[in-house]
Amino acid sequence: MDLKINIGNIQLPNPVGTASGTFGFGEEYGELLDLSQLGAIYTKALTPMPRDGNAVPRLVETPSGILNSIGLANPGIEKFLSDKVPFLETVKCPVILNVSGSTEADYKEVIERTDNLECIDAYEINISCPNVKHGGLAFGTDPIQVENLTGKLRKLTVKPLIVKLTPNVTDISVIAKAAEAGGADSISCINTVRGMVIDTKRKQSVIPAGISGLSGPAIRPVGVAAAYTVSRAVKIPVVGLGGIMSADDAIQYLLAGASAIQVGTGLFVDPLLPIKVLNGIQQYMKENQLEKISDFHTFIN
Amino acid sequence: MKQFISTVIELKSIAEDYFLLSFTWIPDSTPAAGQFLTIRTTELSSPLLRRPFALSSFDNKSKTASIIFQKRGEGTKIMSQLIKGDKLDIMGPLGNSFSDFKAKSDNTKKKQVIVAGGIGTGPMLYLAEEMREGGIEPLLIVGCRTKSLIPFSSFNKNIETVICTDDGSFGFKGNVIDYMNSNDKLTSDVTIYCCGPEPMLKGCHAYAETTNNTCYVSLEQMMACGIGACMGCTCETEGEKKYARVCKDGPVFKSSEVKWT
Ligand SMILES: Cc1cc2nc3c(=O)[nH]c(=O)nc-3n(C[C@H](O)[C@H](O)[C@H](O)COP(=O)(O)OP(=O)(O)OC[C@H]3O[C@@H](n4cnc5c(N)ncnc54)[C@H](O)[C@@H]3O)c2cc1C
Ligand SMILES: Cc1cc2nc3c(=O)[nH]c(=O)nc-3n(C[C@H](O)[C@H](O)[C@H](O)COP(=O)(O)O)c2cc1C
Ligand code: FES
Repeated sequence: MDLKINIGNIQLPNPVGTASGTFGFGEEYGELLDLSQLGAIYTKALTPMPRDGNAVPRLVETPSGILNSIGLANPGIEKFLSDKVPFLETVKCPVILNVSGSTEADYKEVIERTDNLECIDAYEINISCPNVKHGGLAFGTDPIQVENLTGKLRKLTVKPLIVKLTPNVTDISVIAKAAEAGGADSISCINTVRGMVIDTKRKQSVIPAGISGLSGPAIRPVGVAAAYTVSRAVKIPVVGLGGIMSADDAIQYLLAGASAIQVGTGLFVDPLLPIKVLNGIQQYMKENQLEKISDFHTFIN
Repeated sequence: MKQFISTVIELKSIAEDYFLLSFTWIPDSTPAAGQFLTIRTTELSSPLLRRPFALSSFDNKSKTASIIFQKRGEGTKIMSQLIKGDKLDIMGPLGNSFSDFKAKSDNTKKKQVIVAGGIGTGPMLYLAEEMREGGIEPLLIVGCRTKSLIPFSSFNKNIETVICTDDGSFGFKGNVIDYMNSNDKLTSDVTIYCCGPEPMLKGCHAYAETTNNTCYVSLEQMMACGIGACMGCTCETEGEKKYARVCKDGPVFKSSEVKWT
């Protein structure tokens, strides 16, 4: 059985990764699970300057989900280099840096200043965050901007570029094609779904930022549909995520056409979930006589 | 920090909607007063997140620990139906502790005043016990709305305890701050430790400011990961950093370092 998958010029040992923003830079969860078993760590978003993040509270639970407005809180490049890189250098699985920003220059700066780091195997370009005023989602909803930005970042690095898409668009396949045309090596989907919870007593949004990002099992069918749509629109591999809480959930994404998956909110509930998902995928492959991950893609048209 | 499967030893009702849950402790590390753990309350997808609770006791010999919790919503409702022998998915010990500060501040000559209210009672009973075992005689002040909410069976007779009720149905009539204001002995050379509802924390902080004393508070915030990875549980601070993570940098903070709104 071969669990390896190729993304651009790199190979991931298996398809199970941890979703950006739910896993920090890996240090904390490293105490609870064996990082070397992961297919990849997708780090917290990195922007050139440190970001404090949004006003509190930033989280609220919703039916089978959570709504968050973290606001890309991250240490910025300087502190990333001094405080996080030494740890990432010890990590035995591939590390994929999640790149974010408010302007095109922000995305470029993060790649330019980290491209020489051996501990970073690929970039995930976050053009889909609903929780920042500028950039983020604004980039990810316009195919012209997506192709343009991807093309510019393509020139800066030979490392694989995985462009992360939002489901908050009319037709995700148009955006995926634009990223592919710009030179993306892979598409990951989905980022969070725009959502809101209102406190009827205070007559205010529970989260001060207002509309925030919904994740968890509540959005899984949205994610599976996106992975299905995008896999049919592009030739590059798709990384599926959104609401994965079990191996069976992950298998839905693989059958839908994804080559890899990420576990996000599910980690908060069970830190060992990625390992359980990986074991479950192997079990399913054995039972269904699948040799490799691409064999999952032969069933659903 | 460790994720482990624990076994319920006992669930006991100790006041109206308040329960004492004791369970086996698997990790090698000893939890300290102020530290917390998270419990997965169901295998289903709702309630989804693990629920955080502060430890209310720990016995090293029998390797058992306990929490005191209030039945509030779905998660704690499920927990209120636990029975002896049930398995519990626990992560802990998490966060810092009051002891981290106790050790640093050389103020054992000062009177140690422990103020507790509502769901903050558990960790403060543990702190009082920890101090007593360390040869310090703290004063424990517990505030409750009314008599039916007082967990009488949880108090240790060997610890000086004052109970305040808002409606005067038991003990001192008034809140914990009213009590402190009424007691001259508490105006100088005390160190205050507080866990309870936000107004109580604020009140203790203000009291410490006006009397020139130090106060430590344990904060609450919505948590997702509980281990410092998601940046979801932050509180505003006065320092150079605008926010601190309640789960990892706290939950215990020096009250002067918290931005009170
Ligand atoms: C560090 C810390 C220590 C705590 N210690 C205790 C304790 O010793 N005893 C006790 O009774 N309670 C304690 N709490 C509060 C306890 O976590 C909540 O009462 C519990 O999560 C409620 O869950 P529920 O499903 O019953 O209610 P819900 O109806 O889901 O929630 C009721 C309220 O509980 C809080 N809450 C819910 N989910 C979370 C979460 N994931 N993280 C943080 N807060 C949440 C929110 O304020 C919410 O409005 C502590 C909280 C924190 C952050
Ligand atoms: C607390 C939190 C923080 C997140 N931060 C980021 C981020 O920094 N960058 C990013 O691309 N996605 C971020 N996301 C989105 C997740 O990576 C993921 O796309 C989304 O949560 C759906 O997957 P899930 O349902 O498995 O969590 C965040 C999600 C959560 C819940
Ligand atoms: S709950 Fe995730 S950082 Fe505190």
